[in-house]
Amino acid sequence: METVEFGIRKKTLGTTVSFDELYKEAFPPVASFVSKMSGSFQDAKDIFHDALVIFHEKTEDESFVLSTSAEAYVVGIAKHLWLKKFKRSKLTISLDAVEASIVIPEDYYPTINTNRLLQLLEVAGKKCLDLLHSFYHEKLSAEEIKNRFGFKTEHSASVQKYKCIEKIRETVQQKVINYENFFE
Amino acid sequence: MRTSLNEIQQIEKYIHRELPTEDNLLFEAKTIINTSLRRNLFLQNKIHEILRLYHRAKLKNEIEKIHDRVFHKPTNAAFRKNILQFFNSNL
Repeated sequence: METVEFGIRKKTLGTTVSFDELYKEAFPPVASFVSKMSGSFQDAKDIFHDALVIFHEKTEDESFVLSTSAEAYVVGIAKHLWLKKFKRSKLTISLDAVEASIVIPEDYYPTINTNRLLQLLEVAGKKCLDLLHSFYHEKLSAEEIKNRFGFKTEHSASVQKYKCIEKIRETVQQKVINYENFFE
Repeated sequence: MRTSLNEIQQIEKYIHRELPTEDNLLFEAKTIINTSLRRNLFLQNKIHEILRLYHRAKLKNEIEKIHDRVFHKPTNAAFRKNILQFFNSNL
C-alpha cells in the first residue's frame, strides 16, 4: 500500500508537526483519560487512532482553524468518541469550551451496508477505488494521476475517473437495499 | 465525453459546490422532476461515503505503523512504560 502523507498543513498549525511527535504528545493524556473511565489499553489505542484520523481529516479542510494545540484538540476528539462509542452522558465528562465545540463526522461510524459495499469494491473494483481516492482524497493533479496510473493524457485520466464512478455506481445500485425509500 | 459521463461530471460539480448559482438552481430543479438524476445524485453521494471509509482505513493502517514505530522503539521504553502504567490498576 502507498504511504499516506501525514504532514499537517503549515497554514493550519503554523508549523508542520509530524504524526510521530503528535503521537508521543497526545497518546499519554488520551490513555490517562480512558484509564480514568475504566477503559483498557486497547480501548485507549482504538479511540486515539480514530481521533487521529478525524484530526487529520479536519486539517485537510481549508476552512479549519485550530484554536488550541494539536494534542489538546486530539484529546477533545477522543473524549467525544468515548461519549459516542460507549453512549455515556456528557454530564460524566467535563469538556472545556474548545472541546465542546468539536463535531465528529456523522458518518464516522458507517452503516453495515457501507462497510459491505467497501469490502465488495475492494475485491471487484480496487483499481477504480484507488483512482478515485487519488483524485478526491490525495488530491493529486491530473498530471500526477496520469503518471501514476499510466494514462496517455491528462484528459484520459479525467475521463477514466467518470467511467470509474459509472462502474462503481452500477455495483452500488445493485447492492444498496431500499434506496428507493429516498425517492418515494 | 458521452452524455452519461457528462451527467456524472455535472453531479460532481454540484456535490463539490462548483456550479455557478444559476446552474445550481437549475440542477436542483432538475432533480425534482427527473427521478433518474435524483437517484444518480444519491448514488454518487454514496460513492463519496464509501471513499471516505476507504480513506480512513488507509489512514488507520498508517497510524498503526506509527504506533509500532513509536511504541515499540527501544529508545521509547519510558514512553511505553508511562502509557502502560495507566492501565495497571485496571487489569
